[in-house]
This record gives sequence, structure tokens and C-alpha cells, in this order.
Amino acid sequence: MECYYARRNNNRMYRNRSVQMERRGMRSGSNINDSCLKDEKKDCNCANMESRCGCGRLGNNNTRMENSCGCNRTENNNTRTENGCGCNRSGNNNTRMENSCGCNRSENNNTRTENGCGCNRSGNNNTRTENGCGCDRSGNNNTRTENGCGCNRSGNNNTRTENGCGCGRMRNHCAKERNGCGCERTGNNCKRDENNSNRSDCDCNKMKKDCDKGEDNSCYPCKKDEWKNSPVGMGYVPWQCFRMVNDMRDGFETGTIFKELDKPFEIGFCARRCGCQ
Amino acid sequence: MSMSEKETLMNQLNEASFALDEAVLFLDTHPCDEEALCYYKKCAKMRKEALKAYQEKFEPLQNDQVEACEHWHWVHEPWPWEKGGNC
Repeated sequence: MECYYARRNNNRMYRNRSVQMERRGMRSGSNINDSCLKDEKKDCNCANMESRCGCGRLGNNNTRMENSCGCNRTENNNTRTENGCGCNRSGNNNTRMENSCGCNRSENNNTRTENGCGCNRSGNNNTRTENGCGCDRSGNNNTRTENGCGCNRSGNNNTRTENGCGCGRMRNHCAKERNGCGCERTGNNCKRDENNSNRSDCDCNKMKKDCDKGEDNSCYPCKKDEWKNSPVGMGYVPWQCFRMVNDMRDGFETGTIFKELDKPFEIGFCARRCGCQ
Repeated sequence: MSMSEKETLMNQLNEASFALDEAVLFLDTHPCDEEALCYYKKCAKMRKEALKAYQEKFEPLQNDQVEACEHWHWVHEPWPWEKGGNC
């Protein structure tokens, strides 16, 4: 069947076009815009031609409330794959163009570094649950990892402040009993940058062999500079670590199992009495 | 039984008991210290074994360890201030 244009012009070019359209199963001889109101892409040739088709699509997750293909969506799990909808995303990483996708957000506790929506994600592990970040997800995606949002962090290394991140830590010596801040990990994954304590492990016994020698002053909390934040006018007793332990026989003879606490009197009256002088 | 063996077992018991006391004092101020907890368990076990070894070979050291089937032996053993009373 000849298309409208071919009848009008009897032009070979248009006739060929009609033939091509027929071959594609497309409708010819009628107003393209009318047929494009339907979700029948093959008839409308509306694949990604948003302006023509009105983008009234019902598909995977592409339920839209668009005016003119502006992709105003109000779902949570908007996994998108369109090119022409204005939310220019690639793959699973949801990199968005702020203007086109409505990702202009400015919440308080969500420091972001993303290019697009501000939710810096990399890989599959950055599912988030903040309300303001646009990470308000339900279902299986409400798991937050260290790299995600919600913890007032600066930079890439997840340096956190105690208050902002819900890192409810207990006393210093209970280093491992913490709620957050990545200290729920075992093994070598507990990297922190607290005050002056770079740790490779989450508890106080960092580099135990050096602590045993008494040479490692960074064996938190036994390190020296822990006093700099201590108020003046108060007496302090340095915190003891469990290290440099005598064997039982020596401990029994010296009166303590801790070598650090073996402090015999070597001068003065007591030394004379015990025969040290 | 020779005194030297008795003395040896008593020394072992004293050493283990002392180390245990030290570990307990440390844990009172460091309740979450895993190394200290491990050391405490080790000392407790050693003390238990030393105590059992001594009581099996010699006299009971605690009044709940007396095997009093026919007679209360506890009263006949040397008191701590007496000769052979281990003090």
C-alpha cells in the first residue's frame, strides 16, 4: 500500500520510504503522531523518540508521569535505562544529570561527592537508606556499608566523627564493642583515623610485639599524646595495657606478673633495709 | 611422700593462685581485654589442676574437699600455724 506521501508526490523517494516503513511493520498513510500515543513502539517508530510519542510507556520500571517526556517519576526503585528521558543513566550506577532528573537535593547529613545525584556509589555495595539523599529504599536494599551515606564523612576514607555517625563507642579498653564506625569487623578491615591513632586493627593491641617490648607508644590507649586533651588540675594514672607478662614463677617471686610494675626500691631507706644498697 | 614433692606441688599452687589474683585485679579495671581474659582462663585451669594434684596426694586444702566417710579428717591435719602447716 502506498503511503500518503507517495500518493501525494508520486516521488520515488517517498515511495521507497513507505516501503521501508511497511517492511518495519509500521503504519503508513496516517498521522504518525496519532499512532504514537499508544505504547506500540513498533507502529510509531517511537523508540526513544520521546517528543513524538509522549513517552507513555508501561514497561519494566518505567511508569511515568510525564508531561513531555520529562520523566517525572515518583517511585523509589527507578532503575532506568533510557537515553532520551532526561535521566541519563548508564548501567546500574545511576549516574544522573542533576537538572534533568530532579536530583537537586540538599539535606543536612548527607555529604555527597557524586557527579550526578550526589549519591556517590561505586559497585554494588552502596545501597543507602537516608531520607534526604534520595536513598530511601525499602526491601532488600536498606543495607548501608561504610562507603555509603549517612555518616558525616569527609573525603574517601570514611573519617567519621563520633556524634554524626552513630558510632557509639564504649570505653577505650572496650575498643571492639562499638556500634558503628566500621568497628564491627574482624580481621584487618578495621581501619580508622581517630585523633592520632592510625590503626590496623580495631582493638588496643595493635602491633602486640612492640607493645610487649614497651617500645610502641602508639599502642592506644597507652600512647603518650593521649594526655593532650586531658584537663589540667587533675591527677591521672596512665592506662595499663596487658603486656610484658612474667611467667608465673618470676611473678610470684617479684610480687607482680607485670614487668612494668616491678619497681624495686633501689635507693633510700627501703633499699637499705632489703639489702639493695 | 617426700617433703620436696609436697613443697613443689604447693609452690606450683601458690604461683598459679597468685597469677590468677593478678589477672583478676587487672580484669576488674579492664573487663573487655581479651588477652587478659585468655590469661585468666589459663591460670584458673592451672590452679585447678595444681590444687587437685596436691589434694589427691596430701591433705585437703579446702574444707569442701574433705572425704569424710567415717571420720572428719580435717581437724587432724596441721593447722596453718603449726609445723607442717605450709605457712
